[in-house]
Order: sequence, then C-alpha cells, then structure tokens
Amino acid sequence: MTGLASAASLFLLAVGLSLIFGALGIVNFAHGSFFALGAYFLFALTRGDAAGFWHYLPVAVAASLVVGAVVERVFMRRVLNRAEHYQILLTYALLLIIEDVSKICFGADYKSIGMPKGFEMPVFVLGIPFPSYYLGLVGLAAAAALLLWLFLHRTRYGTLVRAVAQDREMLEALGVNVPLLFTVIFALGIGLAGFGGAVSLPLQSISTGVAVDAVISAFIVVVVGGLGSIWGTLLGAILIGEIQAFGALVLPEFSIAFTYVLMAAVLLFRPWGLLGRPPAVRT
Amino acid sequence: MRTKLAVAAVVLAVFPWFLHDYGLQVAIQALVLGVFAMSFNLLFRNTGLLSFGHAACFGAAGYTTALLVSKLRWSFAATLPLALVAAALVALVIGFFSVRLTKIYFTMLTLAFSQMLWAVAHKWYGFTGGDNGITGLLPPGLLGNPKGLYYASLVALVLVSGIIYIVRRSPAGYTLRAVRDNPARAEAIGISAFEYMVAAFVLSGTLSGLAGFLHVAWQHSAFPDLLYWTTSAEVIIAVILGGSAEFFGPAIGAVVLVVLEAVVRSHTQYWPLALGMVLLAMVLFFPSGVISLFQRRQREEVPRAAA
Amino acid sequence: MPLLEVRRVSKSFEGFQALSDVSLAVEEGSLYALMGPNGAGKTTLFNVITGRYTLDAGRVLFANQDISHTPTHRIIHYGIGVSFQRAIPFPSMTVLENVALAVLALDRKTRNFAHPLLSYADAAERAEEIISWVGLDDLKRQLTAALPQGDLKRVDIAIALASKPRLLLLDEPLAGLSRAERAQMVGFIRELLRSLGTTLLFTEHDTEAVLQLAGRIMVLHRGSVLAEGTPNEIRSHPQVQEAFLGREA
Repeated sequence: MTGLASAASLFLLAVGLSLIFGALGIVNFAHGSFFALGAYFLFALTRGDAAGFWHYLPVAVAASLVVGAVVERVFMRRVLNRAEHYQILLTYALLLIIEDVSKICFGADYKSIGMPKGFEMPVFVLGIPFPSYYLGLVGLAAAAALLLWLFLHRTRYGTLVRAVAQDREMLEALGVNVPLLFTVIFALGIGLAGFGGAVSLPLQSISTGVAVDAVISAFIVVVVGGLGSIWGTLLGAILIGEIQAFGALVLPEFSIAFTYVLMAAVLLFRPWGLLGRPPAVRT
Repeated sequence: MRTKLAVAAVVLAVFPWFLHDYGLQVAIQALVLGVFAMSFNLLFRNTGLLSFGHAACFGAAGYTTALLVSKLRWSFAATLPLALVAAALVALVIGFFSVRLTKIYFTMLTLAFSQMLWAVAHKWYGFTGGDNGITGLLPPGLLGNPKGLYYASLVALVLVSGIIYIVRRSPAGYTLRAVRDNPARAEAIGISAFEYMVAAFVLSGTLSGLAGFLHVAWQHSAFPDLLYWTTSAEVIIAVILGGSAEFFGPAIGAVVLVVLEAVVRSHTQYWPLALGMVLLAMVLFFPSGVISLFQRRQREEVPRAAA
Repeated sequence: MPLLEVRRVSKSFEGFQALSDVSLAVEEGSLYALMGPNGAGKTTLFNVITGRYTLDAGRVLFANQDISHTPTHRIIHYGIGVSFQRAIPFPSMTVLENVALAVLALDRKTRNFAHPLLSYADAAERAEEIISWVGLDDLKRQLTAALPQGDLKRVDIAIALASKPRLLLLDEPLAGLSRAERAQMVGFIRELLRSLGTTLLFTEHDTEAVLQLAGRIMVLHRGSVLAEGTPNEIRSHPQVQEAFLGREA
C-alpha cells in the first residue's frame, strides 16, 4: 500500500520529465523543483489548512502550468539546439534559483497539510489501518495517466506531441507551430510535476532539499521505465515505489541503494528502458 | 605562453605569504577544486563524455583516507597510494560499464553508480558513520599546516596539469579525440574506442581521487556529500565556467567559483541563488567560459606540437 | 580469384529489405562501381562489407578469408580502407595529425599515453609523403575543421591511404564537388589504381563519370541486383536504360 502510494507520487513526478525528454530532448534537472513548487503553491494558497485542498488544487496546478510555459519561453528555447551540458547546466541553475527563491518566499521549515476532505478516516487492509488518502492519491495518478494517454493517442494535438519526438523537421515542413508545441509540452510536463507535488503534500511534508532528492528519484523511474514512454514511467514508478517500501522493511539501511542497482542494471542491459523503444538502426 | 605560465607560477608560489587565515583556506579550496576540475576535464575534453559520476572517485579516495586514518590509525600521508587505488578501481568499474553507452545514457549510468556509493556511505552507520561522517582527522606535519597544504595542493595541480599535457599530445590522446570527433572514421582506421575510453576514465578518476584526498586533508573530515551527485555537478560547473576548451580553463573556473562563493557567502546566505544566476548568465551569454571574456577571438583547440 | 567476394548477402531492418541475395566479385587491380538511386542499398552493402552491419545471410570473403563477422575496427588490418560520403575527418586536428594518426593506428602504436604523436618520426614521414601525394602539402598544418569540402575529401582519402589498403571503398567520391574538382577527382581515382595498385570499389550518382571510370558496374535497385557487367553491357541493358539512363540523359 505504502509502495503504491509512493508509486503514484513518483509517477506524477516522473511522467512530465519523460514527456519533456521525449519531445525536447532536454534532461530537466529542475524537475524536482517544480514538484516542490506545486506543493508550496498549494500550501500557500490553503495556508496549511486541509479544508481548502480540493478548492485550491486546480489553482496550484494552473500556476505550475504558467510557470512551465514562462520558463520554456524565456530559457529552454535558447538551449534547445545546444550541447547537452549547457542544457544540464541551465536546468541546474533553475534548480538552485527555485530552491532559494522558495526559501525566501515560503521559509525553510517543513510544510505539511492534513488529510483532504473525504479522506479523513483510515481504511483497513488485512486488518492494518492505512490512510484512505493512499487510495485517493493512487486514483488521482491513475486518472492523470489515463487522461494523458487519451490526450496523446486520441487527440490530434497529442499525435503531434508524439510526432515531434520522432521527426521535428517533418512537422515544421507540414506547417506545425513547433515552438508553440514545445511550450505546450514543457508546460504540461511542469504542470504534471506541480500536480504531483500538490497532491503528495498530505502524505509527505515538503521543505528545501526535497527537490534535489526528488529529481534523482524521477531520473531513476524514467530511466528504468524508458525515456519518453508513459506506460514505462508507470511501470518504473510502481517498481521503484514497491522496492523502496519493501526494501525499507527488509534491509532499511540499503533500500535506496537497491533502486540505484536496479537503475544501473536496466541501463546496462536495456539502455532504452524496460518499455522504451530501442534506438532506430542507423541506415 | 611560457612567460605567462612563469608569472602565474611565481604569483602562486608567494601568494600564501600575503593571505590571512581565511584567505588561505579559500585558496586551498580553490586549488583542490582546480585539481578535481582539471582531472574531470581530461575525460570530458578528450572524449566528449559528460560524467556525472566523478563524485564517486573523489569520494572513494576521500573515504579511503578517512577510514584508514580513523579505523586503522594509519598516518595521513601513507593513505595516499591506497586512496588513489580506490579511486582507480571505482573508475575502472564505472568506466568499464558506462563508456559503452552514449550521451545522456552514459551520464545517467555514471550518476546511478555514484549514487549507489553515496547510498551506502550515507546509510552504513556502522562503517562509514552514515550522515554523521568521519570527523576529527587531523593530518600531522606538512598537510596539517595550512601553508603546507596549500603547497601540496599546488604541487598536485602542477602534476595533474603536466600529466594532462602529456596525454593530450600522445597517440592515445589523439585517438580519444578521434573517437570523439568522428567515431565511424576512427573505427575505419582500425581504432577500437572501448579500451581507450576506459583508460581515460580511469586516469581521470584516479587524478580526481588525488583531489578527494586533499579535500579530506583540508576539511579534516569526510561526509557522504563527497559522493553525492551535487559534488559531480559542482565540478562540471567549474569546468564549464572556466571553459573546457582551454587547457587551464577548468582550474580558472574552480578559482572563480570558489572565490565567488566566499565573497557571496560573506554577504548573504543565498549563495545557491547567486550561483544559479551566474550559471544562467553564463549559459545564455558567454557559453565558452570566463576565459572567453578576456579573449578577442574564439580559439579552437590548436595542438601546439604541430606549430 | 577475386580480391573481394560477396556471396548471396541479405540484410533487413525491421522488416525493410535493404539487401536481398546480392553477390559480387571485385578482381584485384580493377575499378568496380555500384550504381542505383538513393535507398537502393549501396551504402548498406558498404556497411556490410566493413562489418558495421551484421549479416542476415550470406558471406563476405576478402583475399580468400571470411570476414563476414569481423568488427569494423579490424577490417583495416585485412587491407580494406574506407573513405566516407560526407567526408568529415577529425576536425580538431591538423591534416598532418589526421594522417599520422591513421599511420600509427595501422601499426597498432596508438596505445602510448606518454610520447608526443609527431615524435614518431617514421609515421610523420609517411604521413607527409601521403599528403604530398594527394597534393595537400600547403595545408598540412591547417586544422581540418576549416577546410572546404573538396579538400576534406582528399584528406579523407589520404587517411584511408595511410592504412595501405589493398581495396579502397569510396562512397560517392564526387558528391558535393564543383565541376573542376570533379574532373580532378576522376583523374585522382585513376592515378590511385595506376601508381599505387589500389583496387577500388565505389558508389556514385554521376552516371557519366561511372561509365567513364569503372571496369565493371553493378546496378542495385531496391536491394537487389538489377544488372551487372562492363560499362558497355550496362549502357545497353534494357532495364537499366529504362530505369536510370533514360531519365538521367
């Protein structure tokens, strides 16, 4: 149960990273920061009172979307065609800046929030009490995954998002506004991270330093599942969530190490991830 | 070039006598990061491989020294050979598995390996002290004296620079750049890239271990942070800040980074914010590093041997 | 006995049949050309010979040795050199360093991490010879990054020659060259065979140049052999005329 709930949170965190990498080819080191930012937004809006959770959740997500769009327009666009170490450096710079700015705006102390309305009572699974919000979080993540899938595979714009990852020149030749598409994708990825951060707030308190750890977890999930694949990200999130939960029971000292071992093993044997697509053969 | 180097050597040699204690500490930190950055760039510049795992080599050497001194009561300086061996072994394992992968996959795999080591150091309280680290390591003699440590670090920097200079001009150095420039062409003239890349990774990692050793001597302690990915990020920042295409770019980047940090921290607690701003400005406005600010023309690598 | 023999080779990529049942034999001391439109399988065949691609079926023999499964970096030691279609040698090095490195690579002397590249006097000397042979004496201290395409092709061929190949594979040696450069390159290719005795297998789009130069020609179409023979046979081959010559003329 705990594993599934953290998997849900990991999925929301990682899927945007995967989406952005798939389409823009950028590895976003600031992704964890946007996750944290989503949580901070929600906390600030509700002033830490769980009563406003559902009310302000859409506002926090909208704010994340806007931040994502602005960041893409102002910064990302300028490094799209540059060497990858510039992209990494730029997103790392954003990580540092967001970290300190949120410290200034929201303070450095731990922030948490009570269980949202409708999920105050625990549920019993095999006689053991669990917060019922675990189920809520899993439901939210599943809904997000489904909506994202429908968007990517059942709408025209979603088809463009998938196509831009394959062949950008082709889309440009077809007259598609690729820069706008990139903005939309980046904003969507950041919005998902913000959503993930916000809905995870009742279960994990947030403070400075979370972003640095979160982005590494997101990398692991995405690498394990396959860069650019939604279902891969979902599988990766479930694997990592469960490994961490069970590892914590069996060998608490090394549960983190397990996840890195899994990541390294996947990279060694299937560098494109469990459900990713192997790179096209050079012709 | 020769005169410039000679002037720099003289300035660096007499420098400590004009510094107060705090300044000397900053200078040592800059030199240590300089050694690390030069070592990192040996791999990055010659192979194009962006490692996010150099913290593993840096930290492995640091922890080896710290553990030998604290558990087995070795004398500080005597741990250096084993510290370098530890760094080399870690580099061999990471390099052996990682250099087969390209681009971002290489970066991610090196990251995964170094995070594995970090996770162990961070949680294994019984052996490494976990996140309490290993403290109270006071190196005796030369390394314990700030001026002595300064000169030791300076010697290390000169040594590492000399090795890099020699490697760059050697057939193996050219081979590495050939693979970086045009892997298909390199294969067609009979070069198998793998062993050269592993060798470069091991050399780069071992020299990074020298920096790790010096770092522990300077800090009198070892913490899991040595192995954390942000340490790898810091060295990358120093290299790019100074300019990876310039021979001494990484060392200069290290000095700029460390001095900047010391100055900013004396005024505000928001050093990360300032660093973030500097990085943004750098990526967007002067991508070839600070050295390029002082040069009229953009210089591509011109091997001196041919001139 | 032919120097290079390709026997019934097939290769497909994810269901796309790039080569099907292709055989060819190149005699020592000849100029052999591969023709066909883009996607006909010429470059794929090159990549199969050099070991860049693995074979689905068939064999590749060189001087009677089976090299079907030899990795690319070992091919040169059998005596097969390559010059690429888009000639980008090693841009961070000078012309001399490019060629000297290839000389050392052939002699397996690149493992050294300590001595300067150009202190290998034999290698440097041989590199200089090759560079003057291809007529790039004036440019030998220039970084290749700064050279125009015509010179780059020659640098690339010089690199290939440094490996003393018995057979040289040239992928579209005339592509991207000006009219004057083309004429020069055609003369140069003839000279390769005449004075160095290098056997040549090349691909080319320029039909006229191929008919002039080659001793034998193979025409590939969608991965299969459409025709094979002397220039005269190819010229009069009905299907070839229909498919290519008619359109190009």
